[in-house]
Amino acid sequence: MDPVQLIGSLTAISLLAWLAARLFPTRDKLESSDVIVDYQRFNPDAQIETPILSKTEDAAIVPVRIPAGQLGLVTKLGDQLVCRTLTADQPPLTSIVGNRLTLSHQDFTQPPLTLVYSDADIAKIHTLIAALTPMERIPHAV
Amino acid sequence: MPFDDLFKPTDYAVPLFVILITAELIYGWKTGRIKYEGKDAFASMFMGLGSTVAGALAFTAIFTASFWVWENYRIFDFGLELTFSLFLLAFVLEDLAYYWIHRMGHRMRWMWAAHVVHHSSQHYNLSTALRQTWTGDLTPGIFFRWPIFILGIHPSLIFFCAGLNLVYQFWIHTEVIDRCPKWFEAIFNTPSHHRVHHANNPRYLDANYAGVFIIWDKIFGSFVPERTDEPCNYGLVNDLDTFNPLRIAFHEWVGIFKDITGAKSWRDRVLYLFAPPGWTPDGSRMTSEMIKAAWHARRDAGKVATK
Repeated sequence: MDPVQLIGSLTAISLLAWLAARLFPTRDKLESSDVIVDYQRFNPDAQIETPILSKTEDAAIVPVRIPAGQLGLVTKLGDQLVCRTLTADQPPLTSIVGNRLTLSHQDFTQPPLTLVYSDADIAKIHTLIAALTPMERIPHAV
Repeated sequence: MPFDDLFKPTDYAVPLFVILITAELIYGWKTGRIKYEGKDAFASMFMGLGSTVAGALAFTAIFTASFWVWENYRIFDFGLELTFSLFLLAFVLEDLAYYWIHRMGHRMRWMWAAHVVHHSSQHYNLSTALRQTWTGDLTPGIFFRWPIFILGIHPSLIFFCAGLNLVYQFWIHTEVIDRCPKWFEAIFNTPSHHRVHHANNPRYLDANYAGVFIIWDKIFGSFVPERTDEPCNYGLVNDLDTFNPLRIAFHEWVGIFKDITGAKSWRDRVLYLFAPPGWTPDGSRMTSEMIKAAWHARRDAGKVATK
């Protein structure tokens, strides 16, 4: 491919993406109601509890009452939401250090996520995740 | 005109793509009917650029193999001069081959690993049309065009028609156009038909594989019309949580590699490549059939709002 054509294409792509970002700014915060709607769309029969939003309000853990042995994860990607169901069959690699929860999925569809929670929420999340997968909790960052 | 003088349609269409995306952006901003997201649009268009580069790198090998088949195994000799009737025949046959390549792109995980890229945005706008694979030439897709070469149509003409087919499909990736005239909707692939194809609603899964002529879906039983009472939700049944082009391009290949290396038998290894996406030996993941069956069961139980 002609290098000039390549650079020209990259420039045009960057300009169009910049224009798209300017004309369609994304909403900053994730709302609990959006999380519930999104999770129920993919899991219509699940009975869920109030989502636990991260402090940065860009992700939420969804406690699932029925079916048992599941946990929801809804993250914000630009102006869209991404829904995952965490199960004991294919648990993510998980660690909690202080107030930070890190999740690494065993695939290539999502980079490792670090979510920051309040003291009360991180304790709840630890209990929920420990039911899915054995996990070490380190109370404070080393 | 000899076939060697045929141009590459996608190269010439790029300025048109830029103009139409700009127009759709402004229209969406003014009316609020269309949504774009900067990073998503960048990822889509960057994947398109990468696809062009990957296609150029693989073209010599693909063309040489195709030419070899045509030269050694063709049944009829259509000559080397382009006539309107030959062009029409080539265009229709290439579109039929495209239908099956596309259908297998959804039904065979090996081919899905390449094609999933095109479905990995949750947006449906003209930039989505450019979100193309980098690895399409690493799949068995090319073999679906070999019958046309064996019939005797020159590969240059078929690749020219394939380029025109791709250019045609650009404009159907939009929500700006609701419905086209009835006669057009009956024969051609349209924004309405293709919205269904990109939707992840259970009702709409595995439908409308057409390139240019929607009649193939009607003939082969994969046509599903868009419904006004069920708007399309776009994306995958397991959406990606990234705009990283490398993850977009290779995530399913990584998934296949992990599944194959962890498989317990050769049967499972083969099926991880050739079975539909979502297949596992223990049924722990969902194929599109399983998703649709679950949806039908819910509908029959009266748990789905729409008819």
